[in-house]
Amino acid sequence: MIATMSWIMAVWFGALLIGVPLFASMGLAAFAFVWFAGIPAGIVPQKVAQAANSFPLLAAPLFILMGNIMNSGGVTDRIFAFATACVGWLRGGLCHANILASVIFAGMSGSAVADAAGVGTLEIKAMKDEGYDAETAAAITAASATIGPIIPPSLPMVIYGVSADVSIGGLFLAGVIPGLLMAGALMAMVTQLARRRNMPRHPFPGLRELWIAYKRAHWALMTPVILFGGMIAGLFTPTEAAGVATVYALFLGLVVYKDFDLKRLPDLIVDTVETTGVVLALVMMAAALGWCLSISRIPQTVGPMFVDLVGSPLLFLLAVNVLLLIVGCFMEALAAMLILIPILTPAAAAFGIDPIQFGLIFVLNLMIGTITPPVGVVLFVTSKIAGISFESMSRAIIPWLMPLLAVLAAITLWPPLTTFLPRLLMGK
Amino acid sequence: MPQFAATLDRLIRLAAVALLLALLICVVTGVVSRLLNRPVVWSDEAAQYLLVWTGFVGWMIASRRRSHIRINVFIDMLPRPLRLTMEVVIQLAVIVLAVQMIRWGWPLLGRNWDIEWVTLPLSSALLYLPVPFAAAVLIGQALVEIGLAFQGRLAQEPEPGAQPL
Repeated sequence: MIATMSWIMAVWFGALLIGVPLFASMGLAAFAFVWFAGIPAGIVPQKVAQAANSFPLLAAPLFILMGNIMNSGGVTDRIFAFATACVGWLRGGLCHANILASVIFAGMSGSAVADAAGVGTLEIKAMKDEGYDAETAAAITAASATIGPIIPPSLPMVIYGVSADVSIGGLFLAGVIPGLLMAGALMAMVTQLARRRNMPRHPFPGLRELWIAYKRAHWALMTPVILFGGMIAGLFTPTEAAGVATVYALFLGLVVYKDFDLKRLPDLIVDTVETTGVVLALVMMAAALGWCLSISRIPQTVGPMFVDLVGSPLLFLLAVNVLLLIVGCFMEALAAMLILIPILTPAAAAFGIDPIQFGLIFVLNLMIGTITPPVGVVLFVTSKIAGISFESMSRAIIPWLMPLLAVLAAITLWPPLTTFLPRLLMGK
Repeated sequence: MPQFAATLDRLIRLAAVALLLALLICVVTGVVSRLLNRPVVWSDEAAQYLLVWTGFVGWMIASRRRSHIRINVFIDMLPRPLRLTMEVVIQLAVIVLAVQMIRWGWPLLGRNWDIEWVTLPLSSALLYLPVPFAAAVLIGQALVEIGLAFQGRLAQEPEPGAQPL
């Protein structure tokens, strides 16, 4: 069975490279396996439908919907105004504000693209108006957008948690410290550059202005508090938190800020369902293919093989980082995640690596992949918003990868950065 | 034909809005009823079934809007006639998958019709109901793409950033 599956995987990979949609190539591979293995083919559609019959996965459409509602109301400009009032008076103030706004928005949205397209649009415009070159504005926006799925809530973490059978609540908590470290590392880099390039700064607005900016953004800033407060207090699960936060986003737009047009809701829902369809088509087919892989005992073979081949867990993690960074350059994050989870997670388990730490390493690598050319979704989005070519965007992002890679190295080498909070609050 | 496609799109759109709103209401009902110490038992199971249907409806929308993830970097380098031929081959592969999904998905309905949900008197076969519909939309869209290829045209790719993460 291992030989059959290996051949099928090779053909599947070829089909993927010649442009067969990923979900279709996975589905065909699953059907090919059951046909060659003499297993009744009804198992494939059964596994496909059952994969979506999952409670944790409910968070996916709800977090996407919440992000869409937040982006279409006046929440983003209030957050950016508050961030500017907080740190705009530092040298290179709008760069710092850009990063801070991304951190705050990360606590409400679970996607780097939502961050780049939502608050990023405001950030890039404000920075260009103040004389920053479009490349710098777009590069900082893209780099800070990767914080979005690291600080919870996080769509990639939901998909990872479901696919690799890891606690989503644990992954959410594990993302807090690395997310803040990413912001800190990016801000340190801005501080360096701001001095060298003599970047502009705003005068300190005064505590009164700061208070006014806070008051304007207060209800929006409460979103992460409600999300985390509810989860930690045991009022709702991370999945249910997505539902509660969506209702809260609607409440903000319709009742508190009154800037959300209810007529736009159907369009937002259809966009949300479309994105959900793209995600779930892959998750469902990956589940069927994953079942075929486990029946053929490939994960059980791959794990010990990696242990024999690599020897040390640290070397394995370094190899995983290099592999994921390279794959992330050429493949969309979700696709890379679903393809590599069944191969790499059993190996990580065989090495005794904490599944939550490994999940964070996995997700962070692929988020860095969203800002690396030639296939970097966030790069595409930000270059379009900033009105610059993809080539110049690709050049501009290079220095901003360094702080993110430094954080990746830190969470790889020092597990407590990711495992401390889940152990403290959940005992995991 | 365009009228049929427009009607189909409208129906899919209606289904998407109804399903996601129902899903949201189910999840929130679960939380609120628990907070009020009157927990309902059906909310989780209903929300999960609604997610399966939402996923398949989203699958149909993504097919119609051509936003399913695929790697075009390499085949876009091919000369135009070869690129068009490859598109036909790719779409035929999609049709093969969709036919298999209908062929093996349809019997699941009959096999599960007598089995009820745990919390509600509804059939478990509802879980598999959207499979043939989604597969039918896949076939229809693949035929559209093949038709375009025979006219020497390629469908426009979705905007970068339409991808989910």
